[in-house]
Formats: sequence, structure tokens, C-alpha cells
Amino acid sequence: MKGVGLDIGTNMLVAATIGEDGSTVFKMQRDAFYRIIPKSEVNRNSIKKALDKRGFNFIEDTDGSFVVVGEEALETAIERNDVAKRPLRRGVISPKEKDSLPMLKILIENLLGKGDGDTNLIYSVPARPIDGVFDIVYHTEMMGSYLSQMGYRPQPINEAYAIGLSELLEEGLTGICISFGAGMVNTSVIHQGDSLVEFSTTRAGDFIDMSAGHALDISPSLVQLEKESGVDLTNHSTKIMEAVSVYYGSVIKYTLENIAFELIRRKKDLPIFREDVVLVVSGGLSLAKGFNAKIREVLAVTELPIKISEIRKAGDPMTAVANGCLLAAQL
Amino acid sequence: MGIPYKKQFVKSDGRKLTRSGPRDMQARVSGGGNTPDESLVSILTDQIAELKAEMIALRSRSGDSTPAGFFSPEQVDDEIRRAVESAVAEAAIALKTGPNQDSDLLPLVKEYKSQILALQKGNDDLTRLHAVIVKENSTVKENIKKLEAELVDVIELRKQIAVLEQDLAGKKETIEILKSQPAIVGNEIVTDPDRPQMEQLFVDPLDKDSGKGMKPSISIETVTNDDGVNDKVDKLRGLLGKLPKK
Repeated sequence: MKGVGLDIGTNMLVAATIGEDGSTVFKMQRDAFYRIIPKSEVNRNSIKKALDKRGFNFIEDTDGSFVVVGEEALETAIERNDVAKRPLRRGVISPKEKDSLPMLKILIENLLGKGDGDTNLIYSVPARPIDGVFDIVYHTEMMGSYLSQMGYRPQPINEAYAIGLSELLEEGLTGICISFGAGMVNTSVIHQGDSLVEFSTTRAGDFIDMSAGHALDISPSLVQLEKESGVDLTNHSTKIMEAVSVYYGSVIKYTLENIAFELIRRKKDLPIFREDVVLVVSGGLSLAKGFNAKIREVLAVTELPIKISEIRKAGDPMTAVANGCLLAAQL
Repeated sequence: MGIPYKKQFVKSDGRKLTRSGPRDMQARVSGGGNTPDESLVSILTDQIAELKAEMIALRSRSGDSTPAGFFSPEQVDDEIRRAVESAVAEAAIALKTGPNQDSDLLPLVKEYKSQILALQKGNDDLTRLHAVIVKENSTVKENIKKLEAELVDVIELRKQIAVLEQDLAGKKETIEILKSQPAIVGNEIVTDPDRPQMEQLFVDPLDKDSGKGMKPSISIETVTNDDGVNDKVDKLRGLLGKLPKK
């Protein structure tokens, strides 16, 4: 089977393919970069040696600068008391940040390799935001164009819907899926395979990093690294974790209240669910310990027009979107 | 012989008639010398008037408006009431004790009693009926008021409908014009799907050879998951068939 799934996230790029032995193969790359501009030729050589020695992923640009990519971009940025850059902001590319686009293309190409012109590629895109104004269509079209240039037959699907394809097979593709990512939170209400309501909100992982960094006067990249080393929402070991936990709660509350508001507003578009439905949570933020309990706590005081039978974390919150895209690519 | 005239005749009401008989009148006419002197009469009249004035003044000072030896109207009224009450009480006692004293009256009293009871019952029934009628009457009145109010509303609505129909007649043309124009629903502009539309074009902001000279030195992390992907694909095909197009 030749289809490929690609999750284009603000924080992580995940490609999914089916191996020769029938297993699913995921390739991941952090969606971040940090440019180092050498002051001299000697300095350039020493920087290159240092990057090689540390085993960092990097790109040598034509102007002689080095672009450290992936996980190491965050480390380098922190070492230099700076912030790593991202090709995507709030889940989409923007013509205003066109300097980042070549890096994004290289990162995707390294994940996928060149296509043969006949391979289906399903890539994830965010839904239209309900609390922000930015161009989802531009992002979708441009990514499609880049993926075509790489030799694939691309087709976009909503990120939260992809989670449904991956995680709601046993429920007959009926349920609510929420992807708590870095740039956005995407929601999809799925009924028997149809995505009835799709929307996104813009307060997500990056908001937590920025808010906690601002509150404690530290780099948001440091907050991100600390956060990704493991968050326990029930027990705060450090001041950073305490701040992260506070903003986690705020993001969860904001998201669920907005979901309730939006679902009530679009009630006429929703079918009558004969049975209570499963709520699937996924994405990097959902990895935190105590996340489901926090969701349950907020849901207890939030009126949703759909009754929830179970709050379930995706099998692997980091690869669920790519997995859904991969399955869709086989149809 | 004349008619013997009995002097100091006492009448049945107790008055003594000492004068004013025909003889006395004759005597008074013939013996004019016995007529009291007019000046004396005048003096006495004045004295009486003075004494009267004095008595009135005394009474007004003591607050008693009733002349001495007389009953006030209130006192008379009280006395009459008391007398009537005692008479009624006596009559009631007599009625109660009557049958024991006089066995002839017993059937009559029984008959009266039964008549009184029947009348009381009839009175009670009439009172109840009256209460029901009053109540129903008030309900009917309320309903009538409501209906009247509704009728006013209906009349008002009819007037409004007539006005709106007039407005609508003039706006049909405007609606047709508006229907042909694009509408904004939420953030989306909705137009007639058959209308020719502008093609959406996206220009790559990057130069054609942008990034060509870049040399990536990247190793990718790979994770393998043997979770029966083929079964999942089959299940998905069964549920969806094809991927729905947006």
C-alpha cells in the first residue's frame, strides 16, 4: 500500500507510512529552527565542527549561516538566551514569514522523501478558528502545492477528523475529537463518518509557554522543554510546573467553554445522538498527567448539548493525526 | 236650675280642672278686677327668662345637655333596646319551657320548629347557590374581559398584518434584487452557486530556486507500530467507503 499520512503541526511534523511487513512507520521531526550566523570563516568552521560533534540536525544555508533544526533548535536557542523560530504559527504558514518556508519544505522532504507522482498523501489542516482571523485556505493551498512539487497527490483533511478516523473505528466513527496541539485546539463532531462541525481555537500549547514564560520572566522555549519533559497537573514540582499547570487549566476551561458555546450555537446542524458519545483527546498537551481528570472536572460544570459517555486519550496522542491521515490515504 | 259644676274635677289623666270651665270664664269676664296686673306679668316673665338663661348656663358648664328630670334620646334608646332584648329573651324562654307547661302547644311548636328548620335549610341552600352564582358570574366576567382583550389584540394584529402586507408588496422587488447579490453568513460570503466566480489563485512567496543550495544534515527518528493497520483500513473502508470530499 502506497498511501502516506502527514500531520503538519505547529510543533511537530509526523509522517506515517505502511512498512513492508504491514506495520505502521512513523517519522517525526520537531517543527522548529534556529539560525546561527558565523562572524568569520574561522568561526563558521568551528560552529560546523561543534554541530557535527554534538550530532545536531542542521542545514547549511547558501549565505554561510547554519540553521539548527528540530529538538536541537530549542536547545541552541535556550543556550543563547533566545527563542527558536517556527515555520508555522498557530498551525498555518503565512506569507509574512516566508523566510521559514524553505526550512519547512526541507524538513518535510526529509520526512517523506521524493514521491513517484502516483502516491496519495493525506495531510492535516486546522479548521477555521472561531477566535482569530487568519487564512486557512492559503495554508491549505500552499502546502498542497509544495507536496505536489515533492511528487505526491495531496489531499487535505481536518486534523480533528483525522483523529476520529484513527480512534473511533470501534464506535462506528461517531464521537467528538479534540486535538490539543501547540498552535491550536481543533475540534470535530463526527457522526457516522461525517464531520458535522469543525472549528479551532487559538489558545493552545504555545499560549501556555508564552504565558508561563512571561509570568516567570523566562524564555518560552525553556518552558516548552520543561513542559515536554513531563507535566503532572496534580502535583507541581517546580515554579515553572506550577505556572504551566495554572495555564493548562485556563486553556482547558477556555477550550471546553468555547466548544459548548459553538455546539449550542450550531445545534441545528447537529443530529440527535441516540447514545452518549465518546470524547477523544489527543495532541501533545493531552500527554500531561491528570489531563483527563481536568477535562472531566471542567465538563462537570459545562453544559454541552451532547452527552459524553467517556473521555478517552488517543492510543498515541503524538501520532494519532498522522495515523488517521495514513488510513484515509488507503481509501 | 243650672248644671251643677263640680269644682276641682279630676280628669282620667290626673289633671285637676280648677278653672277654665264656662262658669269661671263667666266669672272672669264679669269680675275684671281679679285680672292680674300686666306689669306684674311682665316682671314675672322677665324673671322666668332670666332663670331659664341661668339654668342653661349652668347646664352648659356642667356638660349635661339633658334638662334635670328628663331622659336623653340615647338613654331612651338604650332603655328601649334593653326592654326589647329582655322581652325577646323572655319569649324564647317561654317558647322553650312552653311545651312542658302546655301540652296543647307541643304539636304546634313542633310544626313551627320543623318549618323553621326547613326554612333555614332552604335559606342555606339559597345562600350556597347564591355564592356559586356569584363565583361563576365573576369567572364569566373575567373570561369575557379576557376575550375582549384578546379581541382587541386580534383586531390590532389584523391591522398590523394589513400594514405589513402593504409593506411586503413593495419589498418583493427589493428581495429579488438582494437575492441576486452575495450574502455574508458568519465570515463567509455566500453567492449563487451558478454565478461565475473568481478563481482562487495562490502565488508561492518563495523564489523558484529558493532553498536549492541548502545542505541538510538531518537524521530522522523512526517509530514502528505493529497495530494491524490492514485490519483498520478494512474496517474504515467498510464504514466510509471513500473519503468524503469537502
